[in-house]
Amino acid sequence: MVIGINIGESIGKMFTNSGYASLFDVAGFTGGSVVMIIVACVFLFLAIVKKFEPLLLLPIAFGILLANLPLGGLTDPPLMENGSVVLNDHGYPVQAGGLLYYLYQGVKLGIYPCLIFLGIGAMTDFGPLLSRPVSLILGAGAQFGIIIAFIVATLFGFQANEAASIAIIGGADGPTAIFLTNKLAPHLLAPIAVAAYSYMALIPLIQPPLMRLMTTKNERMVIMKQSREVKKIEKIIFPIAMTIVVILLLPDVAPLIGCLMLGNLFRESGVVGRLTETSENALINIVTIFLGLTVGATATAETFLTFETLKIIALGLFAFCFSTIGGLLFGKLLYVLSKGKINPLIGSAGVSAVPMAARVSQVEGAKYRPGNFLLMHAMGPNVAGVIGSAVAAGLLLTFFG
Amino acid sequence: MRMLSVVEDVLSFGESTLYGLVIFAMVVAVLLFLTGFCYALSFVIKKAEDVKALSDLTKKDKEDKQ
Repeated sequence: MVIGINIGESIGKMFTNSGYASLFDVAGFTGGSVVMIIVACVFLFLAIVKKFEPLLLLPIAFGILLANLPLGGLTDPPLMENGSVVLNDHGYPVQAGGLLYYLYQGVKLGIYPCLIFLGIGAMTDFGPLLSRPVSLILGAGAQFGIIIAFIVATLFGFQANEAASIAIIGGADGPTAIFLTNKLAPHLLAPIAVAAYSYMALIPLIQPPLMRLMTTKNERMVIMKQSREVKKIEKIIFPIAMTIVVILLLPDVAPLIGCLMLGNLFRESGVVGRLTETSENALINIVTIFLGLTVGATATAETFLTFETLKIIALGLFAFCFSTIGGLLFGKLLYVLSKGKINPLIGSAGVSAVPMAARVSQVEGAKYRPGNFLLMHAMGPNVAGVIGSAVAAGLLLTFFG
Repeated sequence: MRMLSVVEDVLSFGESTLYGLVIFAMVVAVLLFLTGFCYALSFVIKKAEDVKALSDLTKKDKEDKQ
């Protein structure tokens, strides 16, 4: 029996239809895709070998890799006509979208950042903040970089809404950065998200030199008194009261603050153990996978390899450094006002990357006075930073939304 | 023309600086307000507990007398 297939022709056809052909096709060759694949591999190296925020960097890097491999179609939208999906006779899409296109809707609609905040709320103990409410001021000081970066970004020629989105990188809060950028400048989402998460991962490298620059040895050696114990009733009332007060003040951040405080109420109420466990483990892990993968997938060569991206990355670092400086300056102010009872090193923890920034304060403090236990004191400004960056995002939305 | 462009740049810088300062001042104001709120919350809870403790004591005292 003759099958009638020319093996050579079939292999040739398989090659011409493959992504390899796209990569080597001189006419259609996009050097950008190759560069982005290399960038993805560098990020994978940093995540796996250097362990730089691997929980986020690994899915982001893999998302970049998937989106830049030609012909995979993972980010392609479904076939549309007049704004609706074209269906066949059986009611199914003629050409469905790629997997990442559908997962990305969670980012586009602002669902993932809020679910991440739910998980963060369930993991966060606001006790250190409640035992020393003045920590909230350090959380405010650490938003200083947002403002400086906003001013510089407008000087660089960005529109006010774009400048606001870039500036929020200084809050060191990935979900808030994604939430705000989606509303103000969705076309800048990829570089802003990548910059925000990269700098969060680089906190142990960025902050210590600034901490040493901004404080004296004597200030770094301050031993702080143990804070008072916070009663359970306070911890239960706090998320409820905070939801009411903040959302009435800044309705634009209702989804973020609402989810953060709901997660915290799950935790503190003690009556919904299963919900707490789900929020702080399974839910946040699942959403982190989706968020990382889809944010990474937005970094295609066309959107990422631009001069604008370089400017955003530089401005992000600038914002981040000034936020740390702002936190430290406010820390110094409290050091003076408390007559030397507050160690200014905890001010840098006001950037909201929880708990890494607090750990950096602890490590730096212990370097100058071994046994100085600053971690719990730094957790106050650290969780205040989460609230502070959400407040800053709300104000930016109010002004430029 | 060039002069006009420089003036425009200066005005734009001034405007964004003003916006920036206003937003930062508002962030600080909101968080100061929340700081006060947290102090007030702990104060109210402490007072409520004191009142409850006092009322329990009075009740116990009354029972003892009876």
